Amino acid sequence: MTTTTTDAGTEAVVPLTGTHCSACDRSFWPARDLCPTCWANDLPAHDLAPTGTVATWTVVRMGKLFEVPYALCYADFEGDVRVLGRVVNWAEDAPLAPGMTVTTHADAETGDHYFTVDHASAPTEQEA
Amino acid sequence: MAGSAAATTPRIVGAATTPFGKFRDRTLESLAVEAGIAAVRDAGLQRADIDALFSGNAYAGSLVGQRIGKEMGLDGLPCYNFENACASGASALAQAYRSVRNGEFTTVLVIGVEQLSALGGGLLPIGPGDPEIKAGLTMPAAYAMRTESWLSRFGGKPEDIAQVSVKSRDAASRNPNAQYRTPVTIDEVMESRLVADPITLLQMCPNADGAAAVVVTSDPAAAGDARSIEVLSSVVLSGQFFQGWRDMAWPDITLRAVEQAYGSAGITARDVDVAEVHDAAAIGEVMYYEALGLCERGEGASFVLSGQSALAGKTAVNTGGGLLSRGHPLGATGVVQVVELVAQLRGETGANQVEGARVGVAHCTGGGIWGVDNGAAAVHVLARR
Repeated sequence: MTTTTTDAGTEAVVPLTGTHCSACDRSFWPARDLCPTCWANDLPAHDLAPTGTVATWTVVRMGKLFEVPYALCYADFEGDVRVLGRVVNWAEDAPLAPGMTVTTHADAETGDHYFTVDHASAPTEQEA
Repeated sequence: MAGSAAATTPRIVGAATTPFGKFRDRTLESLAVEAGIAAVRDAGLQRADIDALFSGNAYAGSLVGQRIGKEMGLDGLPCYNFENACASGASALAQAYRSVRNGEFTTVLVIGVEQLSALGGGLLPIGPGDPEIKAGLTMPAAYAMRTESWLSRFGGKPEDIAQVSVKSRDAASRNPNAQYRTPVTIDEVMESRLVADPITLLQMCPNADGAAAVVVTSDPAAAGDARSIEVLSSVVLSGQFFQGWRDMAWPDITLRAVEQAYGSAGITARDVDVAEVHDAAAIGEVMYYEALGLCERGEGASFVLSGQSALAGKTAVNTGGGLLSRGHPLGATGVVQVVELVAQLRGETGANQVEGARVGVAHCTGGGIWGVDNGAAAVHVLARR
């Protein structure tokens, strides 16, 4: 796992560490030892790219695990890996949109992942 | 009987349900027994006619069928328990169908039951070890992202999809067994509490208690019973694992199950007169109209807006109020859907009757585990003939 700092210098970028099956060319997150396709059972660690693309999103307003409201999105990463995560710099007046770019981070205490979104990365009408 | 050359088409000869709601002063067993005895009596049968008991339940722990059986004098019989989340009851029915068709048993009582009020209130507890639950996913959030995905792809407004809730309550207003029977307007649906954008509370099904039961038999006498309903096909599938991209607005597990069930029954979507689909959220019903082939892909919202899924429409869907208004006691849902269809095909639903209904399809699906569309889906095709 490598740790770098964003341009803004505020939050450390921490790539998600999963695993990869070279025989099947499949990447996995969360990390798993067993490839479900070929049953190789010693898959090596593999860092995902530190940025992904929002596939879909919502704001959770009723839930017990985290303080509500919070934004959640599915983000797609290179290698066909989709990861669900909270987007901590979401705001009511700064909604997400499919196609935006998110960056991965890790909670300092738990190590659990979360995302920040680049609000300037919203796709234009033509791209969408 | 095993290996008998002449497989018999199983028929449903008895069907019954309890009211659905929150019954904290009752036991799980008492709900199940109420439905079970009513179904056997509806079949014109007696306790001694039952050869085996198949039970579907998700949250009540082990040996639910035995706990029911010893209360209603079905102890000592073969008894099987099925857990497949929202498809638990439908899975019990599917295996009852197979064992009757194969000649292992002549007559099986299937009971689906759940008492969610026993778990306390709030959102249903799902998979604490699941990485998506750990990351903050809730069941409404999952349906919210399906809603966002559908609207992004096909256009329209959240209130188009929320129209399902209005139709649901309208049907439930004429079903005395439904949990919520007061009609609602689209404004009331949209102004109810926002649960997960853009889904409001009235677009999610309520937790419920309840039980439903059916009697499945190969007794040749049933074929001469004008109230008996034929089971044309029965399919249960598990979800495929996708680590990466998947279309959140296109339910692959349901598509595969429907294709198999229609093929095995020898029907097409055009033959379906009445359907029960898994409307755990309003978006579910919209997606399942499309997946069942009742309308083209992307036309699910216009299908409900134009009244095509209402009683007088092209294909009536969820005529008893569905999960949204009848309530969703998980283990009971797959069975009560069939109870509703049996009543429709017999012409016994009263105010919610679809005139001349001959073919019905029951679809339920559910179970949230990460990486799959749903954990389990079941489709049953029924016919009066």
